[in-house]
Amino acid sequence: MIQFENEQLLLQDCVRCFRLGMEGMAGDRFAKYIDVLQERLAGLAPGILVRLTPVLSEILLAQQRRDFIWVADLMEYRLRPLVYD
Amino acid sequence: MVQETLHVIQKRWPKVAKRLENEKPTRDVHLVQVGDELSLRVNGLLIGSAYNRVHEARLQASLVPALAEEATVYGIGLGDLPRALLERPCIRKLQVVCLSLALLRTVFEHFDQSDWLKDPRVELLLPDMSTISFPMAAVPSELSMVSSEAEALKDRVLLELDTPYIRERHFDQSGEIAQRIQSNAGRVARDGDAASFFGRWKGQRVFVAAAGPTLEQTSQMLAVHHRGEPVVVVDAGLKPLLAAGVTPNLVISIDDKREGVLSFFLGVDLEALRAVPLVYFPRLHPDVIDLWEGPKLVAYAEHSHYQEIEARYPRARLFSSGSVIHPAVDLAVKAGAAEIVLMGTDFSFPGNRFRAGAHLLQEERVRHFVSNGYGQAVGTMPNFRGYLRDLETYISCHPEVRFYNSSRDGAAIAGTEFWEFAR
Repeated sequence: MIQFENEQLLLQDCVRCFRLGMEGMAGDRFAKYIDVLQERLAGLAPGILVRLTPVLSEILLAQQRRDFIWVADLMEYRLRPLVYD
Repeated sequence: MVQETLHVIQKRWPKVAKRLENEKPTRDVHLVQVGDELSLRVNGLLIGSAYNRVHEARLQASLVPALAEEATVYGIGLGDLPRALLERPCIRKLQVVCLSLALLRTVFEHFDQSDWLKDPRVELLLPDMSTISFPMAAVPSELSMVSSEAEALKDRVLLELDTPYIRERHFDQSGEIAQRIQSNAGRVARDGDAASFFGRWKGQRVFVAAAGPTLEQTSQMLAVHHRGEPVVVVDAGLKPLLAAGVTPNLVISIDDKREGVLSFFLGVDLEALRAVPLVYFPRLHPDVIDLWEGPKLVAYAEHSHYQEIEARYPRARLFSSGSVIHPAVDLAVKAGAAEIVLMGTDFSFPGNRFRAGAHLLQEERVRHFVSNGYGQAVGTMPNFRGYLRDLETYISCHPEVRFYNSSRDGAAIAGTEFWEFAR
């Protein structure tokens, strides 16, 4: 349960940094969050994974083109409910 | 909608209105609608949250203390951040700095901005200032599409926003730096003081060499035109300088990474440099300090790391803001230089190289840019831009010294003139 909450806190912190324009910290939290998310993926139901895959691809593409507000939106409003609700 | 907004601006800020009249809206624009929320995507970047703009703007506004009476906002975006701050009754004055007139003109086409622009507390500004004001908040998406005139200001805003992260990274969490400084106490007690150079080069021209790619070329030119002026070099610049046949008067090293710094001295005939002092911060690895055969002089950065040891062994204090070029320049200034010629201070990747003597970078990995001496974009990294802006701020505080930059291929450095070796 603690791990579950820590992951969500990390995600929230990452989203906050992207929305504030704190690029260095956002990049750091993003890399850390992607690491923990990879471990979490193994435990998710196949139906969730199917819905999550395009969201993750879109997040990575947006991050590459530095579309950080869209990254924050996708993480907060699309990825978080799928993985944690 | 556009006319009403422009009318407000014409009435209150005619200078801004004049610039806006000549600005064309951006073409690559898409409205983005998710549920009831409406946002804008310009040049592929979302300007405000497509899910909850007000929530996002309040978060951005939270960087301004709740009881602040004045604040400055960098970027306008969809106008949500100024609105969020104007909701606060305690705000008496809100400076709103437009970082992209093209974006502002584009936003006018789709979203009414006259509500907050009519607020008497608002002052709309063009990005023609060189320093940032506090307390401040920013619209991050606009920072990614600033006009060229706002580039330096944008870097300062980004640097300010990244300061908590920079502090976090430099915070000595494991106590390793404190331990290193402690373990070097005997060396600090034994070694000399970098302050012994203060005033030594009064009124002289001093060459200060960093390790940027252009050092390879400029050190060869220095070798031809050198008239015995003092030369200060950072550790990573030593090899290219020696390769050109120039022996420095001082070498400076401040980094705590053992292998990285040792590699700068690998293959160098250190015995031939027995007369050259090494200026170091005692966070340097003891193996590096012990390797140096010449005199060793201690200096401290203005950092809490050094408080304890400085009380026991007072030594020179040098300006340091992340890059070794900062204390190198500060030492030259404190040595009394009237003119400082910067070499290899590229803060960027001219010719797609990271450092003098380094391999070519893969172009696709370069995502950040800065203007070079020709006004062209050259690849860089955010920390390099931060070091550059801090050096520019330092230069602006020293009008008694004339600063020159010996290459136009690296980042343009405000406050410097171009140095021609064959003058």
